[in-house]
Amino acid sequence: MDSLRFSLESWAAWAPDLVTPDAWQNWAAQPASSRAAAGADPAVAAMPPMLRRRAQRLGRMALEVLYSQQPDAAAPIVFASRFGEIGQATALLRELAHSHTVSPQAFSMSVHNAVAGLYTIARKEPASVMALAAGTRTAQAGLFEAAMQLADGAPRVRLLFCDEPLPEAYQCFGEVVEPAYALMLTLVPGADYTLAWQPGHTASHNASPLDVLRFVLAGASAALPLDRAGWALQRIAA
Amino acid sequence: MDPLVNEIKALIIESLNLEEVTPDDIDAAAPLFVDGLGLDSIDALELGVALQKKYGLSFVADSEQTRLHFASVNALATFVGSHRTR
Repeated sequence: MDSLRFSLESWAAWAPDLVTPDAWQNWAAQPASSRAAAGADPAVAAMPPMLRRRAQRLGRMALEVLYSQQPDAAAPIVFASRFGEIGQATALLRELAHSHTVSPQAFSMSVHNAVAGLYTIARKEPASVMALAAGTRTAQAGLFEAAMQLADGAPRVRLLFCDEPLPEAYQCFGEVVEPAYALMLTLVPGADYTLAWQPGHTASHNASPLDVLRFVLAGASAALPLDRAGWALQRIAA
Repeated sequence: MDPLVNEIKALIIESLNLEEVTPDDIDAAAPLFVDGLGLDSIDALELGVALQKKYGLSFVADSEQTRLHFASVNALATFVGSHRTR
């Protein structure tokens, strides 16, 4: 599995209560610290207002993170989100049930790849976009997709994760969803990390994107178990 | 001035999330789409839904007549004034 090696060129993240890189470093240094539910709104100041107005709150978090890095049309975007704009989608379903008429604007943005597409239009970056949703294995699927795109020749891959808490209507499913966040890992060819299968080293739960970021930033452990099957993200000692 | 003009300007700003636009920024005689305010086809559909809900209007999608009604805020105000059912 040597082809599933990569290095990280940079990371970026944004959440209402964790706005700066320093805030994220502090978060990573304190295991399982509690998070504030509310906080800032993502401004996405760099995006033209006529395009920015299309994006909802989660999308704006993703855009804030994308815009924090230099544009690079040669770097594919892997957009990985378990639920996408679930708040918006739920509002649309309610509207459909009650009035039989949905907002065309909201509907056009309810597609899973819409925010990444909006970004490439706004920044005139003809980059390839892959949109993923893989349940509790979304982090793992995103890492594999990004690593495989590198192995396929991409000079760097922007791996973007974002999700928000489930609306009230879905609470009955008892899913544990972390507070809203967007984070991006920029993967480049290299050998600092590898995705490896280690039977026996299984996770108690499938690793979330925030678990991955914590592992990357904290730097304390050698491996992050990703799932119950034995896949892990390993740090390779220099 | 026709009060409908300001009402329609407010409806446009609200339904299309024009965050940084005020009613005074919208020239009631200027084109709404492509030129002028710079709205696109999704905005046209959105505005159509908003007008239907607020004034009980109905449109024939993509007809030449509908295009004329959507040409400017003034044209919309004239159309709404004569065809509204609520």
